[in-house]
Amino acid sequence: MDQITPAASFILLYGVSYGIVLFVISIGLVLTLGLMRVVNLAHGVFAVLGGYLAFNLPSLLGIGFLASVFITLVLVLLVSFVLERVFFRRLFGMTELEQVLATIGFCFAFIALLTFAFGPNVLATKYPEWMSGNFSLLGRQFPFYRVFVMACGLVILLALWLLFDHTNFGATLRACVDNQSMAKATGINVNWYFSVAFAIGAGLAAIGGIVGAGMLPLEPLYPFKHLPLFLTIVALSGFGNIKASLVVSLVVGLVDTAGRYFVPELGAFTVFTLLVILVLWRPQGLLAGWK
Amino acid sequence: MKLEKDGSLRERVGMIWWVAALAAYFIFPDYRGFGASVLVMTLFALSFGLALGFAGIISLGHALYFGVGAYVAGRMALAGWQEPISGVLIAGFVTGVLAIVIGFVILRLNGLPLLMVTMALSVIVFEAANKATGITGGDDGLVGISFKPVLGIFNWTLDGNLQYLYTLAWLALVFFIARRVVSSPYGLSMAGIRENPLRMKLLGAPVLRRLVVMYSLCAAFAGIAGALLTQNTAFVGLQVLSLETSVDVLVMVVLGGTFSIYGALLGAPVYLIVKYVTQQWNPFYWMLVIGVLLMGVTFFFKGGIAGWLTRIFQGGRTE
Amino acid sequence: MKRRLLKTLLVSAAIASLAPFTALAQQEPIRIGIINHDTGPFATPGREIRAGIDIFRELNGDTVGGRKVEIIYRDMGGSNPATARRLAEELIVRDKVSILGGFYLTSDASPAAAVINQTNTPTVLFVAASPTLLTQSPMFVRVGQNIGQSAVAAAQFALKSGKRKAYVAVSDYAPGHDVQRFFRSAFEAGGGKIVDELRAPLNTVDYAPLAERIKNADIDMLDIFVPPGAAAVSFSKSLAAQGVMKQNLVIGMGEAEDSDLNLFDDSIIGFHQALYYAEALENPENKAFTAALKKKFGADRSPTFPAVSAYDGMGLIYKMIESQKGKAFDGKAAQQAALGVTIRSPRGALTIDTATREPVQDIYIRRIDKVNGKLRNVIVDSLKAVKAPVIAN
Repeated sequence: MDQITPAASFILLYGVSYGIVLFVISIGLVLTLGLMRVVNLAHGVFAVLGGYLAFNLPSLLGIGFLASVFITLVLVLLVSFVLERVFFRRLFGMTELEQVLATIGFCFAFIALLTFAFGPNVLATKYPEWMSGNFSLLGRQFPFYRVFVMACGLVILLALWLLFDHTNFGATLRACVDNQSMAKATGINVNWYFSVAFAIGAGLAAIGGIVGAGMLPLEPLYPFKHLPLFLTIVALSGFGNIKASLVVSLVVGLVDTAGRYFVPELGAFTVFTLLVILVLWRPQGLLAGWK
Repeated sequence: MKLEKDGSLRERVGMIWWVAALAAYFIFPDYRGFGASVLVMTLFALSFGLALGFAGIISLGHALYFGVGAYVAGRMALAGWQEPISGVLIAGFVTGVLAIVIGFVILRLNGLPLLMVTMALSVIVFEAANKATGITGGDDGLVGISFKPVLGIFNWTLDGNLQYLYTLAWLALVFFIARRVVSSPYGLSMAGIRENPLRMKLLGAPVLRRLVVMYSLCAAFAGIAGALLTQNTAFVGLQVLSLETSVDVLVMVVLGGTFSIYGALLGAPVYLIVKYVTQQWNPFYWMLVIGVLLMGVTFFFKGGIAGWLTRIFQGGRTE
Repeated sequence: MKRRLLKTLLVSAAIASLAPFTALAQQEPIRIGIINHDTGPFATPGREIRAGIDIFRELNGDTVGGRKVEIIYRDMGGSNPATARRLAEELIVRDKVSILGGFYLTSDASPAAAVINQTNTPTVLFVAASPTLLTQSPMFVRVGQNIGQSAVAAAQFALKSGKRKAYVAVSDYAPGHDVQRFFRSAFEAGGGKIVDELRAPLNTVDYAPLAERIKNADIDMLDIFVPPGAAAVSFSKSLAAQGVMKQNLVIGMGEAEDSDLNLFDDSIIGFHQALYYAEALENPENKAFTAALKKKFGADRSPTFPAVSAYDGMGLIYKMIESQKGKAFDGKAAQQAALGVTIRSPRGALTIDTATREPVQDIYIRRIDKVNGKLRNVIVDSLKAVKAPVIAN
């Protein structure tokens, strides 16, 4: 019994914080897929862009970490909004395969540019002092960092819930998703809403990239390296189903952490075996009517 | 693939490809080894293009069969069975059987779920192969492989002479078979399944069974390509099973055009040659060039390279 | 009369102008093929290898033994044995190189063995450290290290420091498995006990669960081996966060070189590493090498073990070429000339063992401390003239 409590508390804290990072990053992808029916394999680009900006701006501009994060978010929101109008929107009419190809191409080009600008190595990320250090609880040490991540996740969840369920914007957005032609008929500028949703998704990914840098190190190959993981979460969630993606992310985080703790050798297998089992078991529950 | 009225035009244009492939042997004698590897990937791309464009099976795990074929050929050679042609056939057979088993389980799915499962399976097998160093040699791969001369007379040399022509011969054979399948009545029913599976089911067509057979054939072809890679390079490494390989072949096929069996023949060489040339020119730029190329093709060349060529030769008539 | 004189002068001048050509005909340039990583996940050490070669050429010129040395670089682009084989074939058959060098990963060299053996091309392995590599070709000569050397040195240092209960945590790939074997064998031979071992999959991103496992074990030391870069940073941060770094002796191998230390924070202090080079070495060769490096690439550039290995590799290659002065290049004879040779390297003295073709060298134990406010690898011990260890599997 003595063995179980420390292990359980570890897996709970670390698994949940890992899951939350995955959730925050993948939400944008879930939204884009649900709203615009676009397979955006380049989604990780916004996460890594957020990370690179946030950790480089302090030394470039001589500002603090929080200011840097704020500026980064603004930049990512702007850039993604523009990119959606210029590039991602055009993917809407293409076949899924063409979307895959175009977004992979975008990924390649972005990774190349990032490598030119910053070199191929992992980025040195140092979180501010107030985020480091441990505190004692239940007889063990917990890093502040992990708790901070969970707090972030909660705040974001709350914000999303408020946005989608308690604002006009959210209601209109949901209308656009549920019945696009009807929404258009009532004079809603559907395209504008999609651009905004896309930007929100990108902004969230950026936050995920910044906050998750302690777990998913930032490097140019980041969008490709973690693509299977993001896709897994999206596949197991539903069309634009935020609640489902939260549950899936937490499950993935917990399973992965527990798997690696108890059987490190098989660490690589656990998440993907889980995926295969879940998809085969409930294919109709997952993205039914994909086409 | 639709049965085009201009089929014969495509045939004649297609002949150019084969002539060019043979000519390349003589025009670029220093690049025969590279050429052989391009031909192997072309064969692999052909197998995938059939599954994807023709049967509508969206898979991110086709490298599984490529890799299994490669390792089967490698292990056979190490165990003493060094006759090349039968080696290739056995590898193809094994992968085909494997695909029947897997196919019956996963081909009930389609779309994104199928994509995810194939990707997950591919990753799982890759990791398993990484661990099973006794069988696969782990990340060092299988070394010490050698083969008897082809048909008893053609020797394996360093310069790639035999590799190139040998692979080209296999490619021609597989292409011939693929074409017959595509234009057969069976092929027509596959087209129906791809366009409208529900309707085919209602018509009483055994959809799952047909899909599995097609899938198995494509897997066998992929296994043949893998075996050829082993025979050409006398080596097998884990990359043959990697997700990256599956993504590469997907890109090649979509680049070439999924609606035509020639798509793979166009997409694979273009992708690989552009990659090779840009890497020689400046190793840092190739990712940028490939990225721009891919985006360009999807935005400006609908239907991939084959689509573009079709438009040129048909004077602008749309598909 | 004048015309005849003029004609004679002209003819003489013509003949005289041919003289340099006849002299040149004896000095055909010799081509060296370097198989390296300019792009892909190993681009960083690849860059170091290039730097080492450049510095060597700057300090030693590009002519040796009467021949001009031409270098042809090829990019692996990542771990890909099929590419390695193709590049070696192209370099030897098409580009007609006489000697091969480079080779960062074991899988860069192993597939090339077949063509190297068929053509008797002397091959100098700059960094590839797998013990079995040298058995695959009699033409392989190594100047980096045999990974067993540092693993054994780590075990012996731990035993010397009074540690008897070890945990071994390595990345799940061939070099990791090698480190496991050699460390275990040496540690147990000295009376130590291996409490537990684990292999971390290469695609691990979050090392926290593994660090947690290690923390819960009853140990006094931890031996690790993970690839430098993202994995090393993640792992050591996790270890530090769990308090493992503080409570135990943690020894690695090359995960936190001085050039990487900007990636880490103060939690890395106390981390030990066993390796055949350290920036802090005080010998004259290292000073000259470091000075030349900083002069060419800027004061922020640090010398690293791949750069030094490449530098030494070129030294060996030049010795091979020198041995063939005045005659047609004989690969086998050139390679023989490299055996038994001692080089004064920035790492100290390096001797190529005649029988095994492995490097015999000192292995340094370094510890990360804060020196003048900056994190640095400080040398705390060294094992002298370590030969490539041999153990039964």
